[in-house]
Amino acid sequence: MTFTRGSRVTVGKRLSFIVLLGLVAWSVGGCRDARGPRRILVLGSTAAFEPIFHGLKAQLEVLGYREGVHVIYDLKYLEKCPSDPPVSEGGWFSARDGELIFALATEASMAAKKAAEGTSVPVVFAYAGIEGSNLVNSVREPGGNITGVRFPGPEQIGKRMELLHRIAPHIRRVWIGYQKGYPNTEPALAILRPLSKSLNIQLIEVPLGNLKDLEVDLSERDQLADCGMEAMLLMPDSTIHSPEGWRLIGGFADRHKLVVAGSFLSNVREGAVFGNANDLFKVGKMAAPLVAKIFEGIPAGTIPVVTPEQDIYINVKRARELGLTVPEGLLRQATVIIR
Amino acid sequence: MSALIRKMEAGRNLGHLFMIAFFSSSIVVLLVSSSLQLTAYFRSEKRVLYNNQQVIAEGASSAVVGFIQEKCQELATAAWLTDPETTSREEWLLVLQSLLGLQPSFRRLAVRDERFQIVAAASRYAPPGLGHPEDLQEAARFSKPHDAVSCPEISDVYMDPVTSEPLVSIRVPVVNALREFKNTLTAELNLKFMWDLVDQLKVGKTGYAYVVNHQGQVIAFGDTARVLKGENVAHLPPVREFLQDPNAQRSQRAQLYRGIAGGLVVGTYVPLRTPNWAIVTELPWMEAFREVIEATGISLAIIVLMAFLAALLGLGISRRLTVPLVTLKETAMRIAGGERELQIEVDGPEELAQLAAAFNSMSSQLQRSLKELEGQFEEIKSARVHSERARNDCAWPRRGAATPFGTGTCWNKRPISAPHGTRCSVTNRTRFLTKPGFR
Repeated sequence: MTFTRGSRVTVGKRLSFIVLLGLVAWSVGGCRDARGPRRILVLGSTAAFEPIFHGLKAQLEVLGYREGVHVIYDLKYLEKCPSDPPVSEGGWFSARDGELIFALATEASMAAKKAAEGTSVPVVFAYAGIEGSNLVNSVREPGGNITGVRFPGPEQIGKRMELLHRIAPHIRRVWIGYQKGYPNTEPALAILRPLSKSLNIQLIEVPLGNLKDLEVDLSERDQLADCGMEAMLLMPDSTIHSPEGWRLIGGFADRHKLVVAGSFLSNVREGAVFGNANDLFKVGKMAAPLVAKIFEGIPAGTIPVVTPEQDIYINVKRARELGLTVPEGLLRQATVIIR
Repeated sequence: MSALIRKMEAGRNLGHLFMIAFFSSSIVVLLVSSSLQLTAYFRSEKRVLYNNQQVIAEGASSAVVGFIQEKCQELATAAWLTDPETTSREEWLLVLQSLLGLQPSFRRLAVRDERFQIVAAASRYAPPGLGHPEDLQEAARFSKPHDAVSCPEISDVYMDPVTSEPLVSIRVPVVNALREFKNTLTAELNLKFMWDLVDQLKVGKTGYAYVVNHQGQVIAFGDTARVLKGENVAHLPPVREFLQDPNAQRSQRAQLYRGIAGGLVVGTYVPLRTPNWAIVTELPWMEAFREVIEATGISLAIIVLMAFLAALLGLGISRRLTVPLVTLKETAMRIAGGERELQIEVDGPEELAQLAAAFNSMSSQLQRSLKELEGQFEEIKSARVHSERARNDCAWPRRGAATPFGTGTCWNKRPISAPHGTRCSVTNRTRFLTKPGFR
């Protein structure tokens, strides 16, 4: 039957075409699967900033990037790696195509930017100071292949001094130890110096090379009848904010009944009278959409830098121990009050 | 089965002709009727879509207006509860700090007296004592003079120089018990707190909303990077429409265009009036016209199905017409080939059945005639044999030869009236002449 045979041939051809199409689709899908999950190299300076990483993971999960399926994280610490040079050609860390570097805080962000130079690897920083670090060209147009969440250091350090003055208006000498050459230091000093002058406060500036310098300075002050200060204000650097640095400062302040103007909630829980900083978990969550955008193919350098909101934590218990009264207005602004 | 196939093959040309004719005509009819129906449906659906979009946009605008009004209300309440005649600077400071604690979106607050001098100020970040350069510009952001504020006033949108975030200032009057103007309470509002609100607005399943100011600049959108860049979308049709007539009650129509996200969308806008912004809602066209697309798909499926059925019907009808004809033709050819006994099965339409019956009748008559002819031919043949034999019998005596019947046999059988020597043949000829068809 010619007619029937003809239609069979047509159906056969169509079936072949559909099968071919399916094979092509399968092979394309297979190729995509073969590319596998994206690798995010998380670079931190200390474990203190790990909540940022957790925030990133949580929010990326919400955005549909499941760990192990769509993304793989590889966490590395600067402090655990050879430091000379910490990040450079052929060293312990090198950026590879198809990866993304997620850098925690300023120091790691600068290292990440250096490592990614000359490659197509995008960098997303979180909680990195952009003032004085030359990380980005501008907030709106970061340029290069980098973007991220800004550390609002200059605004926060000024606010910290203001809060200290409001809580302890009698204080005239404030110790500020800071890491020499740390990118956040100079912008912070640029704010603090004129502000302290306007508040009639003397800044006791102690430049530090490392933790040993801090230990020596505080030990020497321990020997004196007058330690030379009424309060200590934490500067935004990795020496002061390292666990060891905080242990030295907290212990010294406790021994001398000093007011500590802290930063993170952990400082405040461990003896600082107050702190103003950002929720690091939220900072990580803020970085997730930036990472997602880069995965979608948007150049990192065209994505504006975002700024987190500030929280205020007040340890009323510690303030009372030191004979201080926290103004009601500050208590009303506080995110967390420790009673 | 093979006979049927043979019949089908034979009748294919005519059958195909009928099938194609039915298929084509049904496709044309269905397409025309469906197109008309779909056009009417599309028009009505577009109207429904526009109304839905407007409802969604108005809902979204209510949310955004609510966000701003909530802040205005908080400031107005704080101003109302504070007596400007008796409130000290410290008391004002407590009020401002309480407001900062209450509303995370307030960045800075200030109370100014009648001479525009700061009575108290509080800031979330930089200490007010440092003197922020933007403080000096506050007066320039509002359209009314400082002492002419009678109700909450909202400034134009401006960008934070450090964070690039969009900000507005809200100013409310502070009056005494006699409703006399005494101070103003100004708050700087960070609009990024509106981003989440706008991002969470539901516009269909895949749609989105964004807010533009009176210059066409995006001030709230899910893609915050575009807000931080200060992107201007005045070229988008709904935004252009809003900019052309900011006082219009609402958009006149839902428009199809390439939206802010780059895809083809159906969008509309609703002006907020206070502040002078508009909220634009965009719905991807696939979702917007989902029902129309579904209806079109169903219509096309029906058209294809109906056309297929029409083709089948055409095939059936053509078979009913052509198969008897083909059978007739084949039978005629076979009869012509020698199969004279063949008869056609009388089936199909009345006319064809009559034709077949006539053909069968003709065939039967023809066959009968042929049989008669054959009978006559046989008779003639037999007579000729007899005649030949008789002639031979007559010839033998004349030659003096004995015949198989003996001598003088021919004479014994001679008719009385026949002349001598020619009796047999004459007799036979006389008999033949009595048969019809012979001379």
